Amino acid sequence: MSTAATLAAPGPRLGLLGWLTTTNHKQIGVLYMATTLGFFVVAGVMALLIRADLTVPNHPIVERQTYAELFTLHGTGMIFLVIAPFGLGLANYILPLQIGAPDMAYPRLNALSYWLFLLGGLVLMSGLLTRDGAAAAGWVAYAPLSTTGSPGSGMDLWIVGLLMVSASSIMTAINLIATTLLYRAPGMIMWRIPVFCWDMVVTSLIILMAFPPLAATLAMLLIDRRLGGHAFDPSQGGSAVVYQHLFWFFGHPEVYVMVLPYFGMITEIIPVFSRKPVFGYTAFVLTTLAIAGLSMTVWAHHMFTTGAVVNPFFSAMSLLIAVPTGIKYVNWIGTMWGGAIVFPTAMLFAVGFLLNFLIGGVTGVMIASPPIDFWAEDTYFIVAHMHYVLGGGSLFALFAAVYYWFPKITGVMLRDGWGRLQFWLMFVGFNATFWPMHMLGLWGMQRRVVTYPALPGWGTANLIASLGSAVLAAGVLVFLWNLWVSLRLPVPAGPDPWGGYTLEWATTSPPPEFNFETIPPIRSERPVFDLHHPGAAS
Amino acid sequence: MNTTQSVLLGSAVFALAVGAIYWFVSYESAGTLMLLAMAAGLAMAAAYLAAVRRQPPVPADRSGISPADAAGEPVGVFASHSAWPVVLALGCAVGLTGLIYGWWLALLGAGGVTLALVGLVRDDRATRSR
Repeated sequence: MSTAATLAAPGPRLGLLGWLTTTNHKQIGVLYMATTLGFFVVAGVMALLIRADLTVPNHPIVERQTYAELFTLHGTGMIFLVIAPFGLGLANYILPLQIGAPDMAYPRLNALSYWLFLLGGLVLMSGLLTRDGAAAAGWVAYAPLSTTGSPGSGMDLWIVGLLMVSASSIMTAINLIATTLLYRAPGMIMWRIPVFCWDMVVTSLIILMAFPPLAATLAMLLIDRRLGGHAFDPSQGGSAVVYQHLFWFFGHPEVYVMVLPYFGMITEIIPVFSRKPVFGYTAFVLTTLAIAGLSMTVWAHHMFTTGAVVNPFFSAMSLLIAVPTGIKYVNWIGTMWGGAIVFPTAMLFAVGFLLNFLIGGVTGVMIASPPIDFWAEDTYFIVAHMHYVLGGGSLFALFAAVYYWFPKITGVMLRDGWGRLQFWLMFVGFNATFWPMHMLGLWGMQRRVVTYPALPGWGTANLIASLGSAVLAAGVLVFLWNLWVSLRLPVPAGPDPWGGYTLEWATTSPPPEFNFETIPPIRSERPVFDLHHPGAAS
Repeated sequence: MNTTQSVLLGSAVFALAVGAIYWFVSYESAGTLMLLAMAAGLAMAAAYLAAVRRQPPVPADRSGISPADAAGEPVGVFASHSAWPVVLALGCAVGLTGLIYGWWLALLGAGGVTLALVGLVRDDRATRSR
C-alpha cells in the first residue's frame, strides 16, 4: 500500500528504459507535453509552407496535391496532436497535485493512453512517407472525398492514427474523472477543487460523449475504404450527410475539448497575478457545465449550407453559448478588477488570450447566424475565426500555462525577459497573420486554395499575413531558445515562486514520486493561500 | 444527492430534453439518436453512483476533515513502472496498420496485444500482492 507521504524527495533521474516503462503521472505528463511540442513544430512548419505559398497571387510554390496534404496535416496535427492533448498532458501532471492525490487512478492505463497518442500521431503523419502521399481531404475528411476521392494509403493511415488518438483520449478522460472522484485529499470536496480541475472533469465528460461517435465514424470510414462497406456511399444506400452529422457531433464538442482546459488554466493564473481570489468560483463551474451541455447540441451549425438541417434550432443553440462564455469574461475581469496586478510572462499570455479569444468569440456569434454563415462559409473568414479561438485563444493560454507551471515541473524558472519578447512577437505576429483573413474572407477568398487571383487588396492582405506568420514563428523560436537557456543555466524556482493558491505549490519543485510529504488543511479552493495567510482565511 | 450525481443527472435531463425538442423540430434520426444515447450514458453513470451511495463517504467528501486526520490510512495501490502499456500500444499500432498493408501484419499485432494483455494482468496481480 502506498500513502500520500511515501517519498519526500524528488524521484530519481530516469534513463531511456525508465521513460519507456514509467506509469507515474508526472513523467507521463512531461512526455505528453514534450510530444505535443514536437508535433507543434511539425504542424507549425506546415503552416509556414502554406503561408509562403500564398504570399504572392498566382505564384504557388507547391503542387496542388502537396498543398492539400499540408493543410490537412496542419489542421489535424494542431487539433488532435497539439491543442487537445496538451490540455490532457498538463492535467496529467497538475490535476493529481491540485487535488492532493499521489498519482492518477489507473497508472498503467495512463501510460497506455500516452503511447497510443504518440504512436497514433506518428501513424497519422507517416502518410507523408507513402508513395501516394498523405491524407489530403482536410481535417474533416468528408465522404466521398475521403473514400472514393482518396485512393492512397495515406488516408488509411490518417484514419488508423486518429482511431488510436481517439482511444487514447477516451482512456485519459476516464482516468481524469476517476482520479478526481476517488483520490481527492481529505477535505477537498468537489466545491473546493480548483477551477482547472473542474474544467478537466467537464472536458473529460465531453470526451466521453463525443469521441465514441468519432471512433465509430472512423471505423465506418475504414470499412468503406478497405472492406467494401457503403455507409457513406449514397449510390449504395449510404449517406454522405450522415457522415457530417456523425463527424460534427464529435467535431464541435472537440472545439470545447480544446478550449475548456485553457479556460481553466488562465483561471488559475489570473487570480494569482491579480493577488485576489477568483471572482465567482461557483459561476465559473456552472458556466463551464452550461458550455459543455450546449456544446453537444450545436453540431450542425457546421452544416447550415447543406440545406439538410434545421438551421433555426442550431443557430439558437449556438448563439446561447455566448451567454455562459460572456459570464466567464465578467468573472475574469472581475478577478482582475481592483487587484494588485503584476505582469510576468504567464500573465501577459493570459491577457493575450482574453483579447484574442474575444475576437474569435465575437466572430463565432456572427457565423452562428445562417445568413452570415452562407456568406462566410468556406472562406478565409472561417479560417480567421477558428484561429482566433484556437491559436490566439488556446495557444496563448498554453504558453501562459507553460510559463506558470514550468518552475513546478522542472524546478527552474523560464527567463522572463525572453518570455516577454516571445509574447510580443507572437501577439503582433498572430494578429498580423490572422486579422487580414477576416477581410479576405469577406471579399470572397476561398479557403483551401493553392493560389488566388490578383484581385484588389488580396495580394497586400496575403503579404501581411505571410509576414505576420514569420514574426509569429520568430516568437516560437525565442521560446525554444528560452527553454534551452533556462535548462542549461538553471535558476532554481523553489516550491512556490508565484505565491500560488492551490495545492501543487505546497510541495517541492519538482514534486516527489507520490507528490506530497504533508498536505495542508483544505478549507477553501485556496488551501496554500490559507496556509500562508491564516488571518485572511479566518 | 452529491455534487457528482447532480452534475450527471442534470446533464442527462438536459440531453433528454434537447433530444426530444430536436426530434420534434427536425425528425432527423442520427442527431436524435446521439442525443438520446448521451442522455442514457449520463443517466447510467448517475444511477450507478446512486446504487453505491450507501457506502460511507470517502474522506474527500467530508468538508470538516483535514489530511492530517486521515494520516496512515491507505490511499491506494500505484504501479510505478510497467513495460506492458508500450507493448500494448505497439501491438495496436501494428495490428491496425495491418488492416491497410496485409492480414499477416494484423495477426502480428494481435499477437502483441494478447501478450501485452496477459502481461498487464499478471503485472497488476503482482503489484496488489506486494
